[in-house]
Amino acid sequence: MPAAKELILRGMPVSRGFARGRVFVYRQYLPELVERRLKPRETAAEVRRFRAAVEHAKAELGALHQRVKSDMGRDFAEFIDVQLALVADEELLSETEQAIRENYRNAEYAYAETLKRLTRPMTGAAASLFRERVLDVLDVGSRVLKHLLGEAFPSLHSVEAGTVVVARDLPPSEAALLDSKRVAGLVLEGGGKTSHTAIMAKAKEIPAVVGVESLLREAKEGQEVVVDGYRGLAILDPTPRRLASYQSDIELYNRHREILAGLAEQEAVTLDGRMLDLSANIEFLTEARTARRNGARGIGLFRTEYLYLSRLTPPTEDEQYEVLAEVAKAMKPGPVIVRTFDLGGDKVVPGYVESNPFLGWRGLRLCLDNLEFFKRQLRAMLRASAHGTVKIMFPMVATIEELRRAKLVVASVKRELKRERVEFDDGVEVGVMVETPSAALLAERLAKECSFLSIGSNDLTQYTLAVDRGNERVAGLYDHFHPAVLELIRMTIAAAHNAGIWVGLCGEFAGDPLGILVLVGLGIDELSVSPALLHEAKKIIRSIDSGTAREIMQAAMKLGTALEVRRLLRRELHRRFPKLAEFIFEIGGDNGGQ
Amino acid sequence: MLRCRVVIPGPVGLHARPAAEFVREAEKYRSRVRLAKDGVWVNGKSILSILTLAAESGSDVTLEVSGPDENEALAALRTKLEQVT
Repeated sequence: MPAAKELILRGMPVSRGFARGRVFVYRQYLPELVERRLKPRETAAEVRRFRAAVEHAKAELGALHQRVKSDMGRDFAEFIDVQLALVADEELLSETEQAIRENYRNAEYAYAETLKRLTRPMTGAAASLFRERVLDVLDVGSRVLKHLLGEAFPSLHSVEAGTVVVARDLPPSEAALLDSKRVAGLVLEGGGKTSHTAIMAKAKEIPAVVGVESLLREAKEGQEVVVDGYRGLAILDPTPRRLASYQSDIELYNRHREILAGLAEQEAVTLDGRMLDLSANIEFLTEARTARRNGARGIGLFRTEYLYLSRLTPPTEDEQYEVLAEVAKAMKPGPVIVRTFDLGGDKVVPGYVESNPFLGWRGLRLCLDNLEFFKRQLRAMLRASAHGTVKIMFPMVATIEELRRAKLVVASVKRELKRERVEFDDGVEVGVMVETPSAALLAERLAKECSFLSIGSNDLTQYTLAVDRGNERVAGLYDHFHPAVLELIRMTIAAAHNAGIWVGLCGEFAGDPLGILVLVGLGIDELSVSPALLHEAKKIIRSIDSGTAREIMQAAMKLGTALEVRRLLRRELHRRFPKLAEFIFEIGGDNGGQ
Repeated sequence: MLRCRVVIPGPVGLHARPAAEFVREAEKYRSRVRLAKDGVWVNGKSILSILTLAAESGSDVTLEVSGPDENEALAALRTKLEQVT
């Protein structure tokens, strides 16, 4: 067999790691089914066969509902409610049965044709919100057909170990149950960084690349493929040389994971005995469990926007409360720092557009203008505080008045809850996320009026350098080692300590090996990183001492450019902690910690 | 037979979740339930049919109920539509 030509496809990396395996093309469609004419006396049995298939599908969805609810939380199970209604749809069932009885058609054909006919107005509907339901309809349809055809439909639950799933996107019922023991990697033609499937892959630690153009045209079933979840590559029919190079990357990566996983039970303590709180940034419940397993002491940043964006309608107080309470219980007695909604106005008010969203109506500003909405979330947070240690954090604070007003709202919600005799922790800590230059400059004053500060380094970098990192033309100017950003971080940490409160950092800076070196040098109390980075961060903390880190930090603080800072940090890390440097930069080479 | 008109509230209209809830409620009654928008009538006990109406926020929908328990059904289903979120 002539060697196939290697093809490198590029996309966006959404879940780190490497995978090598065989392509499994997941296609979701209703197949062209064979049309069979029944004899009149066969129709009754055919109707029974059809009903049995529907019952099977219903039972499966019921079980899926339970599993997704306990695994992922009720929010994620909502789509199954809709699927349950679809599978039992009166028109769909009665028209299918009619086609079997009166037109003497076989069940598969009758069902698929009826489904097509009933959904035709929907696929053509102008309203995109309704159009996305087509995915659910197809999902339900293929489930019933699978039963009629006797498991002839391949599903991700039954693929062999070492499979790389290739698809346009996955329906929610497949994404929710991706099994990392079987699915080695995931490559999608569609999807974005924040798509449901991308989030699932990350939570399940399956290396994934999304947004890969012409993927489905190029990838063939059973083809060999390498997924590079670091660089965002899918390499089809890799050459022997490429494979050898990736094979060593993969082995290295697995060895690293093993070594690092051994640290889960260890403390995040420096060589000279300085203890740090190492926490995790999460977006949803299942990540809390990963964080716990990976040895996080608490949740340093619980982003609540997903609670809002994952659905078409704002979540109720009870819905928010349930998720928050579950996370609080999962991390108990560790703290869970919940950030109040950090949403842009466009996400909250339909049709609202502004010319400069990053400087616009968003975050705490928006919440203070929508008190009912804000109070509902605060009530949910406070009620959840009865189940563990919950702390409240406000995003996008630029002035002291905003903090004061937000605190007044918290106080009034507490009074309400007391009047209603609802249980909550009256001593809940309230803190500020420092992500505007103004908040960093005012840190000393803010620190006097709250219980903690947490530096959001991503937005702080963006606002300080006036760079939108999503804009390709200027993204190169974005660097969290810019001396101006370092100076604001230094000021914030010093201000918190002067006021006698603790301070953390929850941006990408905390997951950057060189960043950790600087932060330990600055005496930070808490670091919060994504659950997948916990082990590596702990390894770094445990391999350095705060005295040396301080010396390196002081030298870095004198430099004039981000590049100089990076060079110095890298050089010093190699010089002072050679074994650690070798370990960190073994995978993917020393790219400066980027 | 009873009929009433409802203007669909909420930010996104009669989408999948409220439609599923509506169907669950409708199935509790023996009466026949129908919905119409722009003169197109559909079965109110079928989520597929309801979704094909594409009743966005602000659209004018007619609810029709006929059967032995039509009074209770109309009241309950009308409330469901008025509370779409």
